[in-house]
Amino acid sequence: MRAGDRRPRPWTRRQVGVAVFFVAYLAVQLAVPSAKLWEPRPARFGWQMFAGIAPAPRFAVAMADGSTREVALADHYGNPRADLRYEDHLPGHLCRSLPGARAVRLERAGREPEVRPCP
Amino acid sequence: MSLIGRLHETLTARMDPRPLAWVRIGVGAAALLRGFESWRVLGRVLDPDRVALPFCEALPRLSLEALPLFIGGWLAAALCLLLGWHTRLAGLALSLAVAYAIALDRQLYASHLYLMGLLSLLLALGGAGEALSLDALRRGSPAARAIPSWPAALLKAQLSIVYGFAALAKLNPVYLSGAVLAVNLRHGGPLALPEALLAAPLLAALAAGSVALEAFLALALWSPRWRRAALLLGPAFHAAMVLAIDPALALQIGVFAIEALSLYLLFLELPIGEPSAVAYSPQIGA
Repeated sequence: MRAGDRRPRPWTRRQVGVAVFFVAYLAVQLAVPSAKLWEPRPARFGWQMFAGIAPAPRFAVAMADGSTREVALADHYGNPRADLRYEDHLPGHLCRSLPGARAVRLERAGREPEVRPCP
Repeated sequence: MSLIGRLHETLTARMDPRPLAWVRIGVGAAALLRGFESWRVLGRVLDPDRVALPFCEALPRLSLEALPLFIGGWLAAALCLLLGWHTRLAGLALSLAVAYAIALDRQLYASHLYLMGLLSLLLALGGAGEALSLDALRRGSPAARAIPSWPAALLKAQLSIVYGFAALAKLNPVYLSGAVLAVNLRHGGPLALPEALLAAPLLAALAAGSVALEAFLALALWSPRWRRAALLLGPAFHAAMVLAIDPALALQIGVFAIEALSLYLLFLELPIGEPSAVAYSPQIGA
């Protein structure tokens, strides 16, 4: 190359690979949290630490003997978190794991209580 | 200069390896701490009597019997990263262990854990063992070799992304009302804020201040004019969080603080250590 020649040097294959990784990494790290801003707080992979409160529903199990058993989330989850949708999986788990369970009642803030019968 | 030209320049630039080595030491220490916490949490999540929430059903589920082996691997990778021994392998192993833990069950996600996985991956790719490491000692070369600066550029960008989106996500009525702080602040004990300070208007002001501070940190670290203020306010912010938030969350917040503050070293323009110890050799390709 002559002195003063300002033509750009050609990219090596390794540099192209690094460039693809560099741009892809930044694109993912900007796109994912941006998309998560439209979801309820806190959303995963969105850097939404302490950005909101998601009050957990209250669960109670109606037993075959007519009694009602209050449910503590910590008894059924190893690590309860605000971003879990307990109503999606806890009723089924309670029906399977508690002998004599007939139905699960759940109460969520701002909604009517709901009763889900065990199969 | 065109965007492509700037990208080329970023990818071919080189830097003193020591700031990245200090980040490696910080992330390794954070991973060691978090390894013990992962042992405790995984032990509960993997209990077969509890709800299992795998991200991916096809992923083999760790058994309780295999947990000590998994944690042993995690701690070994974290220690190797801290010491800079087989640094690239240690960083990759740690990022894989973190990715597996996050994918294993939806109860195991945590932002500081996700950040740990990303940082260890970038450190593995970035020549973080070129200085202040057993790898450097093993090599027997007295002078550290210059390393590509693009991994450090990504790490710096990552810190700004974390702060920036943390601030954006908090721009909601619930957080700005102070309710999130009211729930998560330490209650009782010598470090708890006096009840008089926990009034709604003050909590709301505190919440707004924290959003402004995170937004400031995201930008100011890049500005020569504001960097010094950011380098002072950032550590104070993290320390205040560790002290003021519910002690049950202290370890998580502490790990996050170590990760974030380690990255501050990349923004320092002052040389760390003796500049003459670094020989900029062209031995490592970009």
